[in-house]
Amino acid sequence: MKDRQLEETIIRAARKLPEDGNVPYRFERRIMARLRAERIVDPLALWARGLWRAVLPCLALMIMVGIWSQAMGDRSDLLANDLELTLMQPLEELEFELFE
Amino acid sequence: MSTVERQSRPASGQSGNDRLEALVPGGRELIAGIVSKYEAGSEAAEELNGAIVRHAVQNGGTIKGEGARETWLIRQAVRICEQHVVRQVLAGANERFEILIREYQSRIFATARKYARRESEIEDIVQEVFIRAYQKLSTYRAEAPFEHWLMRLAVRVCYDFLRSHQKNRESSFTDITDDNCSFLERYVSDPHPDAERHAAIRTLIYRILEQLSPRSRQVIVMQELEGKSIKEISSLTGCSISLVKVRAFRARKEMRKIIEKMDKSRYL
Repeated sequence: MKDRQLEETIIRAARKLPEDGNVPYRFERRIMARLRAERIVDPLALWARGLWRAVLPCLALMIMVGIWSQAMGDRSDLLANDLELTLMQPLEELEFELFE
Repeated sequence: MSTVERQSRPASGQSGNDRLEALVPGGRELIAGIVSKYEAGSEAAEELNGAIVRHAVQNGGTIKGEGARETWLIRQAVRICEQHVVRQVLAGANERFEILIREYQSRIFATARKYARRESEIEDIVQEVFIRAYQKLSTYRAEAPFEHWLMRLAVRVCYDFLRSHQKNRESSFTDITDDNCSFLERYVSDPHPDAERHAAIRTLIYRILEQLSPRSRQVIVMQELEGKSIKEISSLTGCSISLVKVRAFRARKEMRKIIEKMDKSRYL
């Protein structure tokens, strides 16, 4: 048989094969069970859930810090002096070394 | 005024159901039958029924011919019902996805059987198709039928399967003996072959197909076995028409080479 003829015969035979759409018993149940077991993870949903869970602790922390700062009174002057001292200290030391 | 125009133009005071009956006689029962497959609850089913009737009355008048209108109505009803189920699944009613599995599993099994031989592999493919469909359900655009979207996904999964099993392909060529040739000839000419012969032919053809590269096999299966057009293959694979034409040409060439080798090997 010539190759071309053989090729045509194979294709014609393949086309004649009936479609086999047989489904194993309760196959849909198997897939549903697998889907349930897998619990497909959506990263965005996880992130959103985490953020919502963090709302209450953050609010509580904010209230506690607010109460604490109120109780300590106004210390803004002291804080400003400390900050200036810390920032300027290295420069002052350098100046002192240069002039010595 | 043509009969179609007369039928599609609603008479004043006619209800939606009457208008539907004028368009497609027996349309109400047809829709009710389809809806009952997707929605068991009476209220939801009523709502779905109403949506389909409204859609049919609004758009069905432009379709000419009673038979064509009936086919169109069935397609539209199925499309609307499926969109309804997809919306429910996306809203969290995951168990509703089972309806879609039941509806399409047979077609997906038939497709998968053209790409794999072992039953366990076929089941894996089908399972993967539905799991991916579930995961990507939010990407389904309701403009096209659900079936088209699912079949595109199935073709993709089958191709991935062929690629991942490429190394396991049979490395030795299967000889086509003279007996095989005459068997094939007889099978083609016999109008009523039995199941046993179907199985034997399937094994023989799959042995040949297994020697093709995944890309060529995909094209051969769709074009030669399923009789799909280049345009259909292009839409299913997401490749351009010219690329599909090139691949089809190469696939036929590859297949010819394999057959040539097999044919030579039986004389060596």
